[in-house]
Amino acid sequence: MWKTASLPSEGVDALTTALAAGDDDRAMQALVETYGELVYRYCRRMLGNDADGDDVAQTVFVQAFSDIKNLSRVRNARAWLLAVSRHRCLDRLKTVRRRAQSVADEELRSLADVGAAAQLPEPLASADPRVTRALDECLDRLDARSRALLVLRFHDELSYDEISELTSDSAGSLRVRMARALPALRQCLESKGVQP
Amino acid sequence: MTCARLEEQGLLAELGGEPDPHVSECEECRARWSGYARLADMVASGATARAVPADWKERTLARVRAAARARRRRRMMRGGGLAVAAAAAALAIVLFGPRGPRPPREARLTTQIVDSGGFRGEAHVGDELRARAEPGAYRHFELRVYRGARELVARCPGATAAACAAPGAAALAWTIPAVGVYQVLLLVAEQPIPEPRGTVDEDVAAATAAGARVVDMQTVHVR
Repeated sequence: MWKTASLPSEGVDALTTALAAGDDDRAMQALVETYGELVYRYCRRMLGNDADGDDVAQTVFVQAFSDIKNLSRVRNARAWLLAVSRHRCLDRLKTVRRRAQSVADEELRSLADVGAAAQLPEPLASADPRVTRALDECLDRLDARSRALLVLRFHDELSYDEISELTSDSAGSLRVRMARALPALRQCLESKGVQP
Repeated sequence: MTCARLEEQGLLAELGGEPDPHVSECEECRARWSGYARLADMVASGATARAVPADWKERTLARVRAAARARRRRRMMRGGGLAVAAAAAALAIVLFGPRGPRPPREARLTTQIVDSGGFRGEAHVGDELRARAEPGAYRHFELRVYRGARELVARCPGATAAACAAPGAAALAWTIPAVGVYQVLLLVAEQPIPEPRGTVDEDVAAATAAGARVVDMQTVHVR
């Protein structure tokens, strides 16, 4: 989990010390060590595939290094990195959208494993690795815009108006997309034997 | 209004506001509504079973350092640093020239872009990419050049080993054939390094799994 997990205090301490000493290289190591997993997982989830998640998460730190002198307040590093991650992921999605065909909701439904639907559904429990695996797979199967919308709305806790400013989609169309994305996600999870 | 109708209109998945009055009276709708709310909580928590690749942090730091070097180089060029670059090139010749370099203590990778006008900060098709790998105390090493994330375009030692020979190191001089983003990386190991498969990520993962270390990864943008 990237949102609720507490960050190792020694990593934050190392970052503070390195920044105070003006040791950029050590500060960068501490930054990657402390926030690397957070950024990687955010980008991986938002982008829905390993290659893009891996690459964009790296570019976040490349940008972080160019601005490292401005990271005077370490307590802001996490929020700042996530904001950079969000923008870089949305940039990548705009590029990808031009060349990739997204999976429509109807197609998503057909992708659902009908055989698995006969299994007894289990209640959604975030601690269950089988449930989180199913969630990972189902989010990856969603089209990129719906997946990004879910992350921006629920993880980043942005309003539809705020998301609209970032994505240039109208708030109304975002609501419609959400109203389709959640049932599609639920249906996919149910097909894997997980009952939300 | 029925649950099926609410579901069809997407109203059950419209979280964050007041639900349709029917929802509070209907057990089935309430259960469905709660299910969506739990789903939203799950996404909000960021729960994932995916692990970060073992070598990701190492690759990230290598890329950050390469970007920092490129930035320093650009700054140097912008600041009228041609004379400084020439002096640095002359120093490199003294240090690494054919008259006998001092043995390197640590593994190191240096790259340079050369064209008829000499060293400059940006690369173009037809320029020469010169890379020098010093393996230090390691028994095995390999210098590789990838174009994009997938195409292995040069390696040293390898199929072109004769062109790679250099006393105590490996030096590659390679004419850049096409625009793109090139990645130059140096692997070192005590054991033989696995053969490349063709993508940077797969190759680095296989090499590090076999005990190799990525000394450096430098990016060259060819326009």
